[in-house]
Amino acid sequence: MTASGARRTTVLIMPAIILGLLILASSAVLAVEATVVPYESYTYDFWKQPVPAPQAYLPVRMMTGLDMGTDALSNPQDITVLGDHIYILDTGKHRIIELDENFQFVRAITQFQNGGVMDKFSSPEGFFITPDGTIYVADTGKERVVILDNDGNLLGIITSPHLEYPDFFPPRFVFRPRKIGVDSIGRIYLIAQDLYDGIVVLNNDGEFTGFVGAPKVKRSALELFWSYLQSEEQRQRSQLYLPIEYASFDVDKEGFIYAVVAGPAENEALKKLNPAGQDVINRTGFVPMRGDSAASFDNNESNDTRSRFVDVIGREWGMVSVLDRQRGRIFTYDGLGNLLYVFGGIGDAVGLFTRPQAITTRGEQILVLDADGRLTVFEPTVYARLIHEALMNYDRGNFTRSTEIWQELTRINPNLDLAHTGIGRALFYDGYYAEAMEAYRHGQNRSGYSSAFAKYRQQWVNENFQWIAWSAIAVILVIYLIAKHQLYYRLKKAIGRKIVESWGETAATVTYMGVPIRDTRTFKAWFLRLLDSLRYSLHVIFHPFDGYWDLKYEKRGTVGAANVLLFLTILAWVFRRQYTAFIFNTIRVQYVNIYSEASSILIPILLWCACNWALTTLMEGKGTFRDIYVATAYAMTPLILVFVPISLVSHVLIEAEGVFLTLAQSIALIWMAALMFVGTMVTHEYTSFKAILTSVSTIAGIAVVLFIMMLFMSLVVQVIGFVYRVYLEVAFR
Amino acid sequence: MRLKHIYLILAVLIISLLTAVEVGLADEVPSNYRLAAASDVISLYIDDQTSYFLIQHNETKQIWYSVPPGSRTDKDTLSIIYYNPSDEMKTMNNFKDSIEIGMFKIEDIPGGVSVFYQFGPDWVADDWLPLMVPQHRFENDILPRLSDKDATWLAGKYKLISLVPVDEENPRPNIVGLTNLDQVFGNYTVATPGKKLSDKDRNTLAQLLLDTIVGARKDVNERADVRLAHMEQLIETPAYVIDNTIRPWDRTDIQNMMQAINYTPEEIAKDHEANNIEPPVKNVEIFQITVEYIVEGDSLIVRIPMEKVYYPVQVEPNDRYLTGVSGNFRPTNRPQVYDYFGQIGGAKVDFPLYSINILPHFGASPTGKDGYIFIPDGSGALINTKVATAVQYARDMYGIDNSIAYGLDEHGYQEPMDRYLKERLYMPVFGLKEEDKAFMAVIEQGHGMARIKANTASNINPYAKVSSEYVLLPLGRISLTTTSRTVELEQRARGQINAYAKALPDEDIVIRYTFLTGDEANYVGMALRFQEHLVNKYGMTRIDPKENLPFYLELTGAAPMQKSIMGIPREVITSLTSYNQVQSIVSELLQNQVKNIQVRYLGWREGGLYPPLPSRARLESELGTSQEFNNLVSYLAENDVGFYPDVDFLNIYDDQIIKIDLKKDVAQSLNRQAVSMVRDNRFEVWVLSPSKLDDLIQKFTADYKKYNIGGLSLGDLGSQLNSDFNLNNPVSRADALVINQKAMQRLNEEYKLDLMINKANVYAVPYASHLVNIPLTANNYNIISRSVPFYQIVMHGYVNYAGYPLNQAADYDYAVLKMVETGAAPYFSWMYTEGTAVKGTSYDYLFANYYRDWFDRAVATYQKANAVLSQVQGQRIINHQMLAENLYMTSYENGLSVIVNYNRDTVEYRGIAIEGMSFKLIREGDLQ
Repeated sequence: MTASGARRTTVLIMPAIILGLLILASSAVLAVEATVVPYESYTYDFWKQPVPAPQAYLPVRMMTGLDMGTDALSNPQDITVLGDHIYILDTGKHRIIELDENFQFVRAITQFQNGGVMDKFSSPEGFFITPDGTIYVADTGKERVVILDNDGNLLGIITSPHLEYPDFFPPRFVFRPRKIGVDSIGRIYLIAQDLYDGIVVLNNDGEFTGFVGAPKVKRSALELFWSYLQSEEQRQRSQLYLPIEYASFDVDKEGFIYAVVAGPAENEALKKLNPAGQDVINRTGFVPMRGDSAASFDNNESNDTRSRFVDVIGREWGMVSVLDRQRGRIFTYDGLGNLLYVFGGIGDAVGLFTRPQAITTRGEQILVLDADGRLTVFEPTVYARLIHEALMNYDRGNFTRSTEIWQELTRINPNLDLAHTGIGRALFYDGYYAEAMEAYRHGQNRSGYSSAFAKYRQQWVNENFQWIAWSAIAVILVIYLIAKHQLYYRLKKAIGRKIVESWGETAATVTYMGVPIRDTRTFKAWFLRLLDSLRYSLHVIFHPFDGYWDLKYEKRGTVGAANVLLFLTILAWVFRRQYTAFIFNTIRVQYVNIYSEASSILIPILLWCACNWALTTLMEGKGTFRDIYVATAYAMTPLILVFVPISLVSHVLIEAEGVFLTLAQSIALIWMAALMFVGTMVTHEYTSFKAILTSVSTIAGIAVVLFIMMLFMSLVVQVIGFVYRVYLEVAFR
Repeated sequence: MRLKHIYLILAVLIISLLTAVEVGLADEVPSNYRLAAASDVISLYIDDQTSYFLIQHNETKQIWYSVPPGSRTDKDTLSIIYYNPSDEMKTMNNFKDSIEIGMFKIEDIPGGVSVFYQFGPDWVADDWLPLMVPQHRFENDILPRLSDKDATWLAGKYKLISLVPVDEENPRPNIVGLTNLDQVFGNYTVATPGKKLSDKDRNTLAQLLLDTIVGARKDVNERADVRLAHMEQLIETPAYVIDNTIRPWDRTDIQNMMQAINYTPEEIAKDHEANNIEPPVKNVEIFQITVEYIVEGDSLIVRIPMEKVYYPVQVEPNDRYLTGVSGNFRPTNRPQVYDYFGQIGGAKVDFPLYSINILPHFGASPTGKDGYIFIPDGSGALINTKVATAVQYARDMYGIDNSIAYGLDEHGYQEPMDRYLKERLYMPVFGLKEEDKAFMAVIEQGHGMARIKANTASNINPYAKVSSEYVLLPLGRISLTTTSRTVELEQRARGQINAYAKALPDEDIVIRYTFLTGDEANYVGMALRFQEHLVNKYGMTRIDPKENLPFYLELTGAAPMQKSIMGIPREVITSLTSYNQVQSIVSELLQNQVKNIQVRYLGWREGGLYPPLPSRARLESELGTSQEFNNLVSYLAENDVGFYPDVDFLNIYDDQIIKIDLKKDVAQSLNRQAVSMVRDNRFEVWVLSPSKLDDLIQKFTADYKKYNIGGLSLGDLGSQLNSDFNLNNPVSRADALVINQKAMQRLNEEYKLDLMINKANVYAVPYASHLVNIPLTANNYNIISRSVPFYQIVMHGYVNYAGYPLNQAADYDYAVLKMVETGAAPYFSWMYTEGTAVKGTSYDYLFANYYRDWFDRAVATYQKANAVLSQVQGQRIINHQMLAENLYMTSYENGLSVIVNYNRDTVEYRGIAIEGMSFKLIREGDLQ
């Protein structure tokens, strides 16, 4: 109740916030039509699917060299901002351009005095300007770093460190620095071409001190196995190609290096390195910090579809923006790795790029440099400003304020999970646990939900303790009474007798509950037998050797019962998938489909039966296919018994107690496996060794069958495709 | 000496003066043009030598040329794109392929001229090459007509061959690889009459004869196949056979010689027939188009009658030269025609005429002159022509044709190239302004298949131009891919066949070029002319203005949402705004002094946003009872609120309730499959066949009238244009346009429904009272200098309209300013339910639609806009100007103007200060 009251007040506060933001906004001119934005705005949800979002940044200006008041830019590679002024590194024309606050040309640095002669750059690809205006240029073509003061006077030149420290560099290394950065204490970082050991670190004097961010070589089990087989020489060769190349990096105010790895983005394509070179980035968002999620491309993830980062910029409040060359998009993450917003694209409209190359920020603006010679200026919308403000307030500890903003954000964009989590957190600290749970549920934040639920549960138990205690006593009493008078057994027996009597069966060939049934051909008899053999599954799972023997030789098991058991297994499985509590259920419950779930159960079971049958016929097994099927189906009983209760129980557990669920589930699975094993043994009258052998070979057999089936399917598909093609050709020619 | 100098200087002065005068008199009609027709405003002159024409304005003497005079590259007035049977794209233009070779005919018709063009010659160069000429013909008919020198040269390129019985003087030739000479030559051998041959020469002659026969007969594939019967005429009449060792340029010379002496391919055919080899066959790769130019008032009407358009259908391809084995008679510019089995020739083939570009260089404007190209992108856009930066623009009218764009690839739909570019081309009009003259062109017929092309000047081609192209036979590529991904990747590159529409559209192409001068020569002038045209053509009438600005309110009713119960997935219809809730939102608005509300109600039918085929109009029970719906209808009527329930006729969902018949109801694409497309990236919808539209509308309205609602909102009928490539009853896009228009006319007149049309193309506007979701700007293409509210200038005063919902705008304040600048009304898209209700569903795009969040702002915005715009309700816009950077003024015919300032700071304009991001109403005389 109070929570919704709190929301009501923020509604009233809101217009004031928006107004305030507009006054804060810079006086730059809105020069581009903002009603048609040429790209879509989205974030990714918990299931890594894109969901629409309001536009976060809009293009307000697009400029070529001519618009800036100079000649056209030629393959510009880097951009940076000092104060209000923008510096562009115009690589193709070997110059640095400075623009004023209105993006108008101020000057170009094309040459500098070097030992009495004029010296020039040669295709410089990166530069960095320190807050005091010193310009560090990675003069790629001339294999050096040039340091100039802000007036263009030479302060120093750094040549290749590999001459002094050849051991650290590959043979025949040519020093071609591509990107450069300097931290507040004057350490110089740079990336050089063909250098895969990480970022080169030089001290203030330009002295080489080492590498940071060298990627760790991780090996899979298979690779380890191969390397075990390889000769020493091969092993050494294979080590050479593993390391990664950085595309670009940015040194933030606190001395952290944000670096992006070149090539198709992997999960660790974006790193935040501390001065010691360790990656300290938080990757707790729903999607990996690698741009577009694979799931949005039909899971067809290949190098062609992945994002490729070219540049990165560290921003305030822990945010970081990366530029993707593949789709021309700018992805912005918060300090925890949550994707905040996406904008940009490839194309020929304002706000889209052809060869996006570098990104920087100026105040709240984002500037993107296109290597085809265009500069695009983006400004945040109200939506992005609110996100920034919420992060700022959270960062500064103004939790109340940040919560208000998060609430406004859920209104502007209910799809923003982050905002729901933010509200959940606030409600939680204010003690509104039920409301917090609701907010966390909208935010798909399971651990938050769990902690709110823990409190809520405690509260509920406290409030209802009396009631709970009395009902517990009542339950215990009832159980005691039932046990004492054997009520359950007597009731069962009475019902059984009643059924048989009422159906008028007297003479015995089959018995039900000890009551003989004479005529086995009627439906009633069949039904009673089915019930009996179903009931017998409870005996089988506790006395497997005995039980399986009876199933086969005493004809206690029927195919009908096996079918029913399988059906129940499917139901239990679906029940578990669909009705497990939110905390433990990460699937999209509204899409649970019994047909596909059924096939995921039935196909392995039937394959097991088929392979087992095929193998055991060869290995002198005594069981028929029917026996195997019945035995396997009976082995599923523990799953039926466990899945439904644990799904129900999960609703009163919190995250930390999830281990009980896992335990129960594991027990059920092991139990099932053991039953299948014993079933195999008894049904085929095998020794335990032979049973193990058969089980293992059956599994191998399943793999083979699957493989062949896949081959066959692909063949069939190709044949169909061929026939279709011929049809098309004939039809349209 | 001095005097001489003075004369010289004088001479130079006079010459330069003369040239200056000539520049000044550039508006003089050149002497090679004759007056063909004239009205009291313009005159049409035509050059009979080239078929070029020009238009002169009688009063100002300004001239528009059909091709820029003096240009080296822009010389055609028509160009075509067609495909050859090997699916290769080919182009022809009427300068190179018609005018230059004299294949056109000018005819005077009332009010103008008609020009017939044949693209491609009757005979190609190779047809002019005699391969084998009887001796008497060669010596009597060819050689004497040449000069002695040429005759000697030509005689040297031919060998005289006859057949004589074998004897001692004339032994058998000896040909390597040919053992059984008896079978080939019988009892004969080659000889040259009156000449003693060496053995070597005889062998060469025999080989030449055999190779020529092999090369020029289809039934003979190698030397050993030649029989005496093929050459027995040589016994009686010796023949000159072309030497197959001569160089290609010699062959060209011979062809030129034959043309010069007019030794026609018909003559050559006689020679070849006499010699038992195949004669040249007439070129089949020809196209015929007739253009009519008619002067009418201040306009030039350009018309292409469709029945006079010819393209080759089921023709026998020329393949005579293709089978040559000697290596010297290789095909030159002949089509290489392969049938499915890789054989050459055989089947009959088509050369489908894909498109015609009409007057591509008309009125082209040279670099350096002030002006712009007007293109109808979105609300209208200008491209500056002064600076030479080569840009190209080509887009189809009225967006994509779903029957072409979707469904060709069985893996899903082909993503349209400009998916993110929201605005399409809504108006069939374009124009070009050059200093104080301008022309505009309105496509009167055939605009359904049109495409607007614009080019600005480059260094190579210093002219800016704009024109229209017409896709006559749309093309679809059918990929021969299979469902296996690996196979698919392999085949992507090669496995495609083209499929074409089978017949030309019924509609002619008619373009009206109108010529504007002086103050009229700008985009406002063009817009007002276009308005006049619409009024004349459709009888569009002025609206009866209400006191207040309309407030457009879009409400979303119900939506089917995915739910799963015990693993059984189903669609559960969920109410987002029920009938009662509509009433409560409206009443709340009324209480807050929002007037003239027009409600567009989506998802109100059975099934919600995912309704069955609209063959009936049943209500969705989740939204309330029919009693509640009736109450709502009467409540809205009582309060004078417009009510427009929305219906989609063209995009239909296949539903369990009313099954659609894929064969009958759904349009077919070029691969003869029913067309389905994915709407909003979420649902598969089918595209209705245009021929079913009438029937469907009749059924719907019969049911709908029971609700007694006067209005209906059309979701897709006024905006989508789909063709149907069904073989039995094909409907072209241009014809579909007419069908859609008629349907809307019937809704208006026969069923008495007041229409609100969504994203209306111009042809739908005459039938609408309200337009929503119309473009207020153009796309943000880099090449576009700025967008102009052309659409609004045309429509204001004739229909009420609104842009996009303000609550979905990327920038609310900007969108409000744009709304005011363009004279549009506020528009909101709301639902009664909170946004979290659609979170995680397929409707997550409705995230900003919770009405409570927007209510207060909406009311405030409405009051603010109403204060200004209510005063210009029903008024025509007579001017729109950019006063300064980001400062625009829209003027109405009653003397009021609205200035909108998009700058963040206050701007002063002629004594009036306009605050940053705001607007102001001014009266005549307010400005200093």
